[in-house]
Amino acid sequence: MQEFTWPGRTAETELVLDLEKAGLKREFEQRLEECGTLAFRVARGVLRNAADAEDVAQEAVLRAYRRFTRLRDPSRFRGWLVRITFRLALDQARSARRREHRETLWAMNTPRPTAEDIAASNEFGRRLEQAMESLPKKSRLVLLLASMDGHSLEEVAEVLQLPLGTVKSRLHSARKQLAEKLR
Amino acid sequence: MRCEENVHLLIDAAMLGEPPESSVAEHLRHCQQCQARFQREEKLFAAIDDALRARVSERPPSGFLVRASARLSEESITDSGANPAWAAAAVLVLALLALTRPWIASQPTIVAVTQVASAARVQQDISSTTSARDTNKEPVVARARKSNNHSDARSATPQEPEVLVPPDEQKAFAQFVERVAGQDAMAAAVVSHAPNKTIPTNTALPQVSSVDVAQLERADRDDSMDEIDGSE
Repeated sequence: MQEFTWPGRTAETELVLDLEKAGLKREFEQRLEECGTLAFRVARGVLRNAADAEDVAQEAVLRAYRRFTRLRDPSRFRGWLVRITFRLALDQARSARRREHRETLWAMNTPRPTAEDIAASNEFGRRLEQAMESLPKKSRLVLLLASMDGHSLEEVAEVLQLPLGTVKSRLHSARKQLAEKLR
Repeated sequence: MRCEENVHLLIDAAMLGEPPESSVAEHLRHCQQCQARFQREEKLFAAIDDALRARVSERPPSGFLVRASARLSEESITDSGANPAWAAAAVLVLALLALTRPWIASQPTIVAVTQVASAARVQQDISSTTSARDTNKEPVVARARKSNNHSDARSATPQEPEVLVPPDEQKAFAQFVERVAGQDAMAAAVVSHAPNKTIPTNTALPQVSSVDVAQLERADRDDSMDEIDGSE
């Protein structure tokens, strides 16, 4: 006697599901080519070095891949990827700061840097980074996206699914706060 | 116009990279202090913009996309399991079901009734057990058992067919079972597929001797998956 087989659970159906998965993967890889660099740049805007930024961007890409069936709409995908990358980068920066703080405490007895050392370091960059960290997260993300080459404010609004007026006011406020801290 | 009145207008103009408005521009022509301030502000905003642009316009290290793609092949799209809250809820429900199963099994509303499916034989007590089931308002699962393999109603394997029977259709279902058991032509037509369909379902009627009527448990699993997938 033949075994009972549920309709819809046939080998043909399994094949269709496999093909659909393969199609999804191809579609995702195409989306990755379009948005991978954007993810890296968002992470780089928060983190101090490119290696950390790449790690974070790859983690964000993996998370997007796992949820791709919900993120197939391109505009939604870009916005989600930007936000998740930004959040992961902030987390990474926070733990890097904690690690740095521990190492600084440990190395308290090492010789202090000379005036020349300080002058040689990128003082402006360091101060800018500190000022960026004090900004509200929402404004910071708008500032990063708006600073990217070729990103108009309209595109930033589209990526973040925000009204253009909101983007403008966040950007205005972020730049003003940065300048106040750097003056 | 006094210098302090101009400060914010100067800063805004420098920030926007636009020329100051006419009254401020007129003041700048006569006030060297404000001129210097305006230039400092312009330089500051330019430095901020340059530093930010340099940082966020950096190209990814070479091979970034290749490495990202390579990591994808180790992963799979598992959308339905992506939400930890759903996963936790599912675990909780399964745990509750496992804990309450002995209690449910001991309830009088769960009755072993006879038979299902096709050319199987229906035991004669089907009518009486059906009336007992009528008092139960919950949907039940009728699970066919193979007569020659199992004697215990709860030992049915997951591969065996399960049929969700709403409370108001339990009587009709019992009548259908009776018809199948009696080799009724109408019942045989119901379980046969149409000749022009190619769906490879197996319509050979399994040999069963009884039907378990149990509280719904497994049947809702696939439904919940559909809900999650369709929620977006």
